[in-house]
Amino acid sequence: MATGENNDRFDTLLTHRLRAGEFRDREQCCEAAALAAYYEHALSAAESDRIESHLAGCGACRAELAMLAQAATDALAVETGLRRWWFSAPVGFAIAGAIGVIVAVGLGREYYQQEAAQPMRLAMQSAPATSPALSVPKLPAAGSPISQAPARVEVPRRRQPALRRFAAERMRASSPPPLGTSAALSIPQLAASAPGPAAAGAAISHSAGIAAPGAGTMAAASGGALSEGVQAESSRARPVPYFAKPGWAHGSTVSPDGSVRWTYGSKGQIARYVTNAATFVRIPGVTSDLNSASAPSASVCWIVGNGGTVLRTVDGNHWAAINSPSSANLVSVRASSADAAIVTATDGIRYATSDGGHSWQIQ
Amino acid sequence: MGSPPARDEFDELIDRYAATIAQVYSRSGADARRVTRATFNEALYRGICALPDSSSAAVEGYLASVHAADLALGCALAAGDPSAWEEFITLYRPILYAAARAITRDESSRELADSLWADLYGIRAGAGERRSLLTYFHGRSSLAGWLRAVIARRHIDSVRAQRFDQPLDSVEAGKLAVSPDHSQSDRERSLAKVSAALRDALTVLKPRDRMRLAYYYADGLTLKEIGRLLNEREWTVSRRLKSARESARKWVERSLRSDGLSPAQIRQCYNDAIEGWSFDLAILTPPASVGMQQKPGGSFQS
Repeated sequence: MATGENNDRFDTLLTHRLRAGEFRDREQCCEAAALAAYYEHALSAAESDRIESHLAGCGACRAELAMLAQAATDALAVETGLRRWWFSAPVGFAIAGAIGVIVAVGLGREYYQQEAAQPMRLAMQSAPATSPALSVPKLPAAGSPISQAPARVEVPRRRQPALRRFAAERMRASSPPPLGTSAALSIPQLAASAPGPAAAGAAISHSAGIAAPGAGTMAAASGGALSEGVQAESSRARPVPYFAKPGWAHGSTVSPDGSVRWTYGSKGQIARYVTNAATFVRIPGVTSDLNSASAPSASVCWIVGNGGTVLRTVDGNHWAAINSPSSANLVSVRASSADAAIVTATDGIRYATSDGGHSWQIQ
Repeated sequence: MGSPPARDEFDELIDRYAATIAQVYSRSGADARRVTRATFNEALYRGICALPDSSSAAVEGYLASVHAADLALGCALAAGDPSAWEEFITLYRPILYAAARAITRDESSRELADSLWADLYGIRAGAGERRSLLTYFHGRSSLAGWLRAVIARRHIDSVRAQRFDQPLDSVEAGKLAVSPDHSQSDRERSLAKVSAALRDALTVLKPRDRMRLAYYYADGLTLKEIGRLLNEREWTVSRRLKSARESARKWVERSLRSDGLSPAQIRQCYNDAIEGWSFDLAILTPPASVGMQQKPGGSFQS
């Protein structure tokens, strides 16, 4: 038997049969409300099956669903019309070129600043910091535990910009930072220990940029002239961008220890960055846009989004949809642990949970 | 659903879910719209009555996911509240017109959208009470989504009405050609066999697979369009379509073979069925692609 030939015949039969099976009474059709709810994925699995079963045999309802989708897509296209224009081919090339130039210039500047700052740093370390203009605390005397710290933190140079952003973001997220007791070697700890004089010394010895936000506090406290440069560094601290899918990300949050960044965006997309390496996840069944995140620790993160979406991970790798307090769009979340969080809906109502989302109370 | 709720049943339901309903009411902002608890409860009750099953899980699911703010607006609109109508016209008229434009893709879109206003406001039947179309909105979807569904239904019904008005002689008769070397009784037997086998094959498929097949074969939608409808990737649609088609074909051929038909006879059966069913094309409902722009390509590899 010629299978290919039979395939064609079977396709024709299938077409005829499926079309012929659609001649049915409109009274049996599903309601417009149910169809709209089906399209918005607001139905239970059993009810979705029932609707799909009906749709399979009813051309009119299928047409309705197709038109509903068309209308919704067009509405979305109007909202994102600028984005479409933005990514049209010629404009896209031009923008990509411009971004390339900006990135190249930015990297060049950072390298330049690091190289140019090196002699000054060494001079500051070797000479006593007596100049009131600089207001840099002296490095601790030899013999103290801090003296064992290297003059320059051993961080691979290529990672510095990203790590600096982590540190800056962490400082923004946690205020006030805990007092540091030693010149720790890790960048986040370094940033956290900025108010302490020893840490400040270490921070400056490393790079004014890396300790930027913390050093801002320090410099302001000591009335130092570094504050201006520090603020300039601070303003450059931006979330790590993801260029592979432009425009998908809506925002990001950083864990308190600065080790993990969570970026969330459209259609339930989540990215986890650990020292510049990203892991992307999409939660099955979650298609709504995500609007806010809060990470009370490196392994715990809460993310909320449209349509009452509440997601949570407690191990940093596996995500679960949490029982939502509202079907409205959720615009903000503030979590203090894996169990306690407060979410805010677009209508301004705040819901709090202290049992991991099993129950919510209106605040 | 159109009849007023039986008081006992209504009261019992409201009492049983009083706490949840109170929460829904408070987050809906119905109070600010001057929608009374009684009116809001009746709207919720109508929504509960429209659920396919009345189990407590289903009711709780509905109350947890209901678009409360939209439902409150719907209640206020159905009651004819002027400020609610002002808000509705400001916020939803553009949505309505855009939806109509997307569906009809011609100048009749405005007419289609405007035909909805009277029904949304409600028409007084004789001396009876004015009844708004919005009483059919239960908050299971967003109000915008519901409006799009209503306008799509309105358009489909008008297209269907036009189709059924067409005279029968406009049907293509050329497709009724039959092969001369095959008797009528043989053809009818083939038709019955293939028809039964194909019906069974389609029945055993999952509803979603049947829906995919119908969208692809009956409505001629592209893989991309189907993917958009079902929230699936194109290649997922392609793979599942292929799998469903193959399993249906194998089922049909196995069934025909079990009737003692040889491969050649199966092929002849297919031919007979194709010729016999061509007439069915005359009674087509409008395909789902009505109002949609068909795009070339998007076929899956068989």
